[in-house]
Amino acid sequence: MILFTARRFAEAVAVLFVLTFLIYVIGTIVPGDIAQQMAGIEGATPERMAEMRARLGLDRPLMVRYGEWLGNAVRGDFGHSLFTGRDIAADVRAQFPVSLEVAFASVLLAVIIGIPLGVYAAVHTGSIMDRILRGISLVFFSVPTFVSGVLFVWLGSIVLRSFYTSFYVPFTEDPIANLRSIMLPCLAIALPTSASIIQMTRTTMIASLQEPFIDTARVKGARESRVRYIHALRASLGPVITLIGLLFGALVGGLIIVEQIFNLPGLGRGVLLAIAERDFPYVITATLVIASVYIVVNFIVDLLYPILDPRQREQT
Amino acid sequence: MSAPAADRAATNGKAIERGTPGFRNARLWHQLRAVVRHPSGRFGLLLIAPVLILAIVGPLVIAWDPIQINPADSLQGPSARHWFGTDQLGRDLAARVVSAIPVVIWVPLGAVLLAVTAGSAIGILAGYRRGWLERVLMAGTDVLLAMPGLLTAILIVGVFGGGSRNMILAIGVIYLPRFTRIARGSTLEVRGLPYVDAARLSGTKPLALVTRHILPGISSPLFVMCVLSLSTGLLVQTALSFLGFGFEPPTADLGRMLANSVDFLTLAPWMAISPALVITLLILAFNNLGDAVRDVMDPEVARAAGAV
Repeated sequence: MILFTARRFAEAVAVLFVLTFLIYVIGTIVPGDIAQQMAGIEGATPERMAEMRARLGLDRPLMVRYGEWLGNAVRGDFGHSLFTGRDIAADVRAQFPVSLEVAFASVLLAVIIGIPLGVYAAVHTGSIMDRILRGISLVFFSVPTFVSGVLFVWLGSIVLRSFYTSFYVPFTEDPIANLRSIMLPCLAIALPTSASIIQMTRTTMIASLQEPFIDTARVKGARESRVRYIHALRASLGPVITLIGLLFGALVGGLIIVEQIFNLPGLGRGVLLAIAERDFPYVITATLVIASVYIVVNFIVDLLYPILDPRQREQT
Repeated sequence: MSAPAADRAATNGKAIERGTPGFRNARLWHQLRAVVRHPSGRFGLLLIAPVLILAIVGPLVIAWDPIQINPADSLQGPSARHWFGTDQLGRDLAARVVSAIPVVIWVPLGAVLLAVTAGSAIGILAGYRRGWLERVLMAGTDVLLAMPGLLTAILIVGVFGGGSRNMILAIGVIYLPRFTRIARGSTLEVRGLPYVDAARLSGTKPLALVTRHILPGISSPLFVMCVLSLSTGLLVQTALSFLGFGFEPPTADLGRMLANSVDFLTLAPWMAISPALVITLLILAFNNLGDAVRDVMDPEVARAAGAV
């Protein structure tokens, strides 16, 4: 188990290291000559260009610049934005909690909706409710976040007018107003996610209800509710957790879209703005932060799997 | 799981070595019919039909120009004159939606073709040659997988610009790893089978071995993954358009039309309805078709590879 953890950790670090280089190269080489853009096309005399390059450090080889950037990045210094001139690390630190909060609340909402409904559908297989749930989750699964997001903007501006706040309020400032401002964005992300969770919970729950250890529990005299909601559910959660990990990629996509639709000051909207302004030092930093979180989540999911499902322990 | 895969591969190998294309066609025909008979398959085709009819018949019956601005008609609701209403510039939404349908089908299709071609070439190479080459290729795949898909796509079109070619490239790149994994896994399974050994020992060249003996053995999981990827490909493409990385205005683009509608939701909700409906219908249709194809051709492998 310790060996497994160490190996996965080393892999995750290696992948992240390769990613820093790739993203740095993409964000530095491909966008073209930043000095040219900053000096302006018309006022770009050769002397002015050379001065600009020297000031930005663009006259040195790529590997030297990457090494220097990586050295600074490890110490938490990601440089300054080309567009606003502000400290990138400070901006990202301000935006990150917003995205994290929306992501966490969305997953929580999806789990709260998805697991009970999935368990219900599995226990009542073939019932009318089961079929209705199947139909609903199939449709929700196919509605893109940007479609449900637009729908919720419309609902928020017509029906829920007194309930929804259209600008972001930090949780530390006013928890109620905060919940009102992130409720609809979270729901937009949670709907398709909960649809997948319902289906996965139903499938794995049906499978584990047929396993021998369920009969053992029944024979030992455990109450039916305990058998269903403790024994069977616990054995079914492994694949569901893995699914949530897999869905995290889609969740990041959903965050970028939802932050854009609902004007939430998070990392996703930051990346979109920075790409539009061709502010690549910011793009590199924000992308790396998002990718690191993604890698960490996958790492945790790999570790959680054997903890939740006792049958997996010997196999790893 | 290995036993049915072996059976399938053996069946395929025999069919090809005997040189009876008729047998293969019959099997394909049988599978197509099974997809149509499958409840999900039928539902998917039922959903896709109105969109396709709209895309084909629409240009013939709608006289409006999709990019012609007509201020006198701005923000009108659906009527006999403008079926789906008009946008803030008075452009006919029916004409715009109809002209935007072909790209949301061609771009995901192109991206999936790119991903399956490049991905399976890399996967077969890794699975067939093994050794350090395999480790390097699979590490590259892991790095690609370590990025959230939409973010990678946004970076690619954000840096290189939008348009159908770059969108195909972006979506193709993010779908490459899943095909690489399936192709490698299936190649590892197939390469140890007796018929492949027999072919190799009888002096078949590596390239011929791959195309004639390995590829047919791994084609059905790859095909299933292709169909499953179509719906998410469409999702990524419309999301890119929605975020403003699609086609330059004034070209009609479903995602961008939906994004534009946000500012006019209370005034003109119909601006959102037609693009949203077409996108959702197509995704729902592709999802159902994907389920049917998976059930008919390959229930195990596609699910194992993470195409939930």
